[in-house]
Amino acid sequence: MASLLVRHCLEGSYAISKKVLLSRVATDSQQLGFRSFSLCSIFSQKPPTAGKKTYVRDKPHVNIGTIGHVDHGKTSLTAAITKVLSKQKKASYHKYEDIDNAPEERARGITINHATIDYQTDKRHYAHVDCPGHADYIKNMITGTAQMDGCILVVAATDGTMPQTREHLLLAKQIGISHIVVFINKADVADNEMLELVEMEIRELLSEFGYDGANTPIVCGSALCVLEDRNPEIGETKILELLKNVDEYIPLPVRDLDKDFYFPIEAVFSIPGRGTVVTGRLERGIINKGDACEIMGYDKKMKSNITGIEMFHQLLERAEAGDQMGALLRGMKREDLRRGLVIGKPGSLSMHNKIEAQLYLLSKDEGGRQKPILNYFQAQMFCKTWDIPVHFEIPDKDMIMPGEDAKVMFTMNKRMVLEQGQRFTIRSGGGTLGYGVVTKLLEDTNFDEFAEAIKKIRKEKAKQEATENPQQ
Amino acid sequence: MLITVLFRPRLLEGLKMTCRQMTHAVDKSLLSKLRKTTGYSLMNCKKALEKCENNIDQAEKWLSELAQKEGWAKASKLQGRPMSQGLIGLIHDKSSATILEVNCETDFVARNDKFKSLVTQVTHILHTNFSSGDRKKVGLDASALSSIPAEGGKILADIVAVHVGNIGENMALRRASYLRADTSSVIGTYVHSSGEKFEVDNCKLGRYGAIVEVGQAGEVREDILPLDVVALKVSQHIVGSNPRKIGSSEDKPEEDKDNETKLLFQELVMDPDMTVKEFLENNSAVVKDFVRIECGEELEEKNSDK
Repeated sequence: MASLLVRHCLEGSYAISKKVLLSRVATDSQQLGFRSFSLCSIFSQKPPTAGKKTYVRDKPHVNIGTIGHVDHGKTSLTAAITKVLSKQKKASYHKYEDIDNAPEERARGITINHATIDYQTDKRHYAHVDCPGHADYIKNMITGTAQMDGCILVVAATDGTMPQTREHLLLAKQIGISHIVVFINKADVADNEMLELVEMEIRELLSEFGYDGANTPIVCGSALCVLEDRNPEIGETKILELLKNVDEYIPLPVRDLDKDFYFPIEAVFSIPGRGTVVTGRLERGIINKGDACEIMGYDKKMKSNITGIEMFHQLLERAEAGDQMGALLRGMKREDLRRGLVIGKPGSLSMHNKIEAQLYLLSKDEGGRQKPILNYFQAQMFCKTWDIPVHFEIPDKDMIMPGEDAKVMFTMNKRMVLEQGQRFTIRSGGGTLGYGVVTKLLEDTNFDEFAEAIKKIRKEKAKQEATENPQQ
Repeated sequence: MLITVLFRPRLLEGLKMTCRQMTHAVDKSLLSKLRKTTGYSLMNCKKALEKCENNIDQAEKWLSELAQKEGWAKASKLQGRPMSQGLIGLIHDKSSATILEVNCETDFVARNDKFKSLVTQVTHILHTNFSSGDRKKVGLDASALSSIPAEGGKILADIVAVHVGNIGENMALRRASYLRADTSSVIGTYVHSSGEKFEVDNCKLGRYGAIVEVGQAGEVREDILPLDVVALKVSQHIVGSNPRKIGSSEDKPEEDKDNETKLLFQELVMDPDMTVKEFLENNSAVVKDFVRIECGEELEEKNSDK
């Protein structure tokens, strides 16, 4: 659209001055109607980010990872993929050694051991992640650094599945991966019977862990052949086949733009003559001027209409996910609103005061605390633009050591807008203790009763320990 | 170039031939069965069936004999690879306890049942070994541990090697300790696991473990906690707070409480309003000795008393 416009202008305006040209563009775009206007306005109004490279979003982006035994060729496969795609200029070739020596990274203060490599197929853009351990993948999941949309399970034909392949699949389940593509590696040193048997084994195991074992794409090949430029029939061809399967089998994540709108309030202003305006970043979806909305949080639930959208002192007809915007709300008083409330499409928000979450407690080196956290600990939860005191309940163990992840139930004294997959930070006494992700929304509890119950439990526990002998 | 062109068809032909021969030699359903029952690698299962002409019992026997040899071969091949993961195993009976650390490369393996059973098995062997001796406290390093005898004329290193062969990761016994209580004191132990709690045959597995010996000192009043409850609490505190030594009344506490490494002056993990010293005094108890192992931690110095 934009290029069309430019060409159109250039054709008829060899000798026209700059001023005329600009006015021409303006009138042209006006003539093109509402749709193109809003598009153009959004393009022109995106703030220029100084010094940063622009990422061209011409293909959907998918995060993918490799899992498998240390010796089964995950790194070789990654190297082979980049080598094959580099021939089509869709990746830069990463040698085995470069991937293998990936330094540990610090993302949001957490040390994560992982290598990330990006490449493209005809259809998609991929970020390819490989982590050495279970804990690294869990940290990834909790912080959302590289949330995986799908993964490639690598199994060597010579060994077949290993005892710990079970743990690999358990992990995939735990971090919410629903689609796996399998690559049976080292096909150059195995014969057909063995390949068949390995395939059978893998399908059985996948089904056992609740995956669609029968329909999971399995590709047999040899990453080594690609790296050594030989036997393209089990090398390059198979890598391309694998990528085709990944393109087709692993579903695209829903884009933020396509979701219901979600707009956490950062600040509230009262503008004389206009009304109450709230500002913040539109996290998801699209808001059109005049849209009905719901405002929720801190136990409150209100209804309103967005009667005006403003960005950089200009009025807009619509705003898209990612926009830093202001919204004029009909019939709302400044006193009704506060930072931390969330504006959403009616019916799309829900409030909860008890959740189950997976928490990563920062280690001392990562800036966290040195001591473990015990049951019924209290801290402040920060999420989106709100924060609220929370009570910990640790269901599976006595304490959480720093540098460890654990399942925790959080209870808060007010109901807040929460949803599954939402990420938060836990802070206490001015320092960050850890990060978490909501895994389950639990039934609301009466907070006062809960607080009473905790006091009772504490007393009883102390008594019980005094009379019973736990060692027997 | 010319040579490769000439040779390639023949090479492929040759490959196909061997494939065909193998197909005739090995029964696929037997291969699948053997692999399932034994868990050895496909390559070896196939070799075994070829060697024993599809006799599955013989093949199984051949495989188990091979396992030891293969294990050692694999173990020596993987020897240099770094290990930072693993598990500790802890057995606690009436008056004594044994703690062992076994390392592996990834935490995936540390969560695997086969690895867990290895740790359990070796911890049991060690506990029996130490309990039958007359020493009150034992501390062994990797080399001393490897040569301890196990059943069937094997040593512990043999057992580890078989698992290395099966799981395909470098593994090693790193250190073990044993502590026995005097007649007047009790042993308390605590194991903390990063994942779910795991206990088999009285052997607890986890990432951190502590053994503490606590004795009664002073008046045994009605309102004090039983000694073994005190011992349990102190052992949990030791796991949580990582003290380096017990400390004594003559020592001075650190100015920054968070850096305190002397057990007595640390804040009690379960009740930060109280120091360990106060807790012990309130309950007329005294800590005589303790051992703490954190899996994968860096060791300050080697101290083995083999």
